[in-house]
Amino acid sequence: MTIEASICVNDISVSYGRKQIIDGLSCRAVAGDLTALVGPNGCGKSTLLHAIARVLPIERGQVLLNNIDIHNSPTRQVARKLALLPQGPVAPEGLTVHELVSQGRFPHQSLIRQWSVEDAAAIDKALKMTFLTEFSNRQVSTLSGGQRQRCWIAMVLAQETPALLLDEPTTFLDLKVQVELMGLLQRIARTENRTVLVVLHDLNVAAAFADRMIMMRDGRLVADGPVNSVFTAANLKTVFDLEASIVQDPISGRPVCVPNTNGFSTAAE
Amino acid sequence: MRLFSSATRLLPAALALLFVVAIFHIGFGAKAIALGDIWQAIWAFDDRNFDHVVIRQMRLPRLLAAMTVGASLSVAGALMQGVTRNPLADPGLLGLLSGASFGVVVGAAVLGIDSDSLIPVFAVLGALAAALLVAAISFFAPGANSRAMLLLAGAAVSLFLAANVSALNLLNEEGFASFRVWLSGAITTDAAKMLPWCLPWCVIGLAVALFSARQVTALSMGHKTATGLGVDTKKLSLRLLFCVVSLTAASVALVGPLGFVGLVVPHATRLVVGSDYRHVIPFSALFGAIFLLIVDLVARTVLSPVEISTGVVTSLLGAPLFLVLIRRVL
Repeated sequence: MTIEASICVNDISVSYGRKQIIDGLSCRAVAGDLTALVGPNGCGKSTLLHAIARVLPIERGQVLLNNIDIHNSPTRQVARKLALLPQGPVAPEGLTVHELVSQGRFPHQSLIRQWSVEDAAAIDKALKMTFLTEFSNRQVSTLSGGQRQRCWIAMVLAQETPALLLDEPTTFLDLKVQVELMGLLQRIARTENRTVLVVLHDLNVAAAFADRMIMMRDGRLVADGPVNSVFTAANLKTVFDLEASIVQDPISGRPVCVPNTNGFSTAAE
Repeated sequence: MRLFSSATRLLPAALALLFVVAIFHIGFGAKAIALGDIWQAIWAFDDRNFDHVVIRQMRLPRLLAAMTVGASLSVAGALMQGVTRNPLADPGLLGLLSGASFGVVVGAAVLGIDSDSLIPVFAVLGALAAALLVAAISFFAPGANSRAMLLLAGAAVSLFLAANVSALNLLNEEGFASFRVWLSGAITTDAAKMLPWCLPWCVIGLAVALFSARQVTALSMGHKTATGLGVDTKKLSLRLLFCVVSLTAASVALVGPLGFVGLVVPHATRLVVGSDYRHVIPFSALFGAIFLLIVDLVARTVLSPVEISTGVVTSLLGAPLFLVLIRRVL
């Protein structure tokens, strides 16, 4: 895939009913990078993702995907450029892996143009990338949690969009499965030059795989940039009220957060 | 487990079954009519032949009414289950059948409307009001949007409207006599005169359902996922609401409130063809038509020459069948 896309969020505000969740936030995600969106529970990270994906309306500002205003474009046209995987999706009882993944082709089809060779190729490729080819006729409900999540990722991959948004795709999965899924997302971003924006709960998983990181607190942006400059002890204190040291993984060179468990442990400055 | 891996291979079998059941449906009755006479009545009608007249004026309209209602209620149920992601959603449990009945009773007994063409319109208004009321209650009530809340709201609205129908009938003795059979859900030869006014609502409803099938599958995965795939969920929900209302209302106007069809047939269909609505909707329509023809055949012949009301048979057959199916779904 050669189409590059970057997501630019410009000064947006979002409310749920009368309650304002996001107030004047700007951030961005660029092609070829895996961008992690982190923050404490209830800080509005899922709300931000939903606002970017036009699931929620925005009151102010704009969301640009390659300079196109997402909220003022036909929804099907947006869906050919931007895919969303919501948190904890549930497949209807009885749906097979192949049927689920083929839903990703929805925005590319119409009443006139029902099914094409490209659709079949996109589905095969998505199944292969997520190692699900052999499961394609199994029912989604019979698979394990990690396999099921791979099915959903395959669905958004089959959508063949230059940009992907994922809401906590690794939560409630075993660490090994989390690592596999994050590796997959990293490959998708880097080798296919796509923009991948992921809401993540586990900070160390985020720091180990992300290229860029966005940190939020109380509906506002705290930091947005390369992982090494955002994932700092000072930012973790500001965003999570967490006393922690940042050490470097000797093998990967990645930052790792080690929470201070008592008053005597010394912070590595 | 899926019984048929390819739904398209099932289509000829289902159509053949429908054809055979339809032949039985026309042939049996107070007087059995031979296959050859059925053929002649359709292709070489002779108005001096009594059997031909019976087929043309009584049995064919009844066949068409049973098929239309079976298909309409089943598709309405399938759509409701897909949109609400609630396996128990159906025109009966969510109050649409009572709403449509209430509309018809108000129109015919209270306002004294005598025109057959307006009966389905009153049914549509009643069903729409009931649907909006149930949606509003389950949306604004505490614990909103839960599966249970939707069903409780449906049950409350359903009982309330049914009580209103009873009250109106008690106040209007003569009207009650004519509504008594209709309110039990009966496919009668009366359906013939209502058919031209109800059929368009059903045909449009079924066509819209078929054209929307792909989007219903997306919506059945949740409104966020559907939005991400490029479905305009608000527009789609509105379109499907009118679809469900017109299918249910026209069925009620034709034969009265028939319970369980919209619940049992879509579940049985999913067991056979899976959960992709591109298959669920057409096969629900086919199986619904077949199911209701069989039920109507039973209703007419088991205690012959006495006819049991079709609604009584759907409930007698539907309730246990539903319990068997729901064990797999819940």
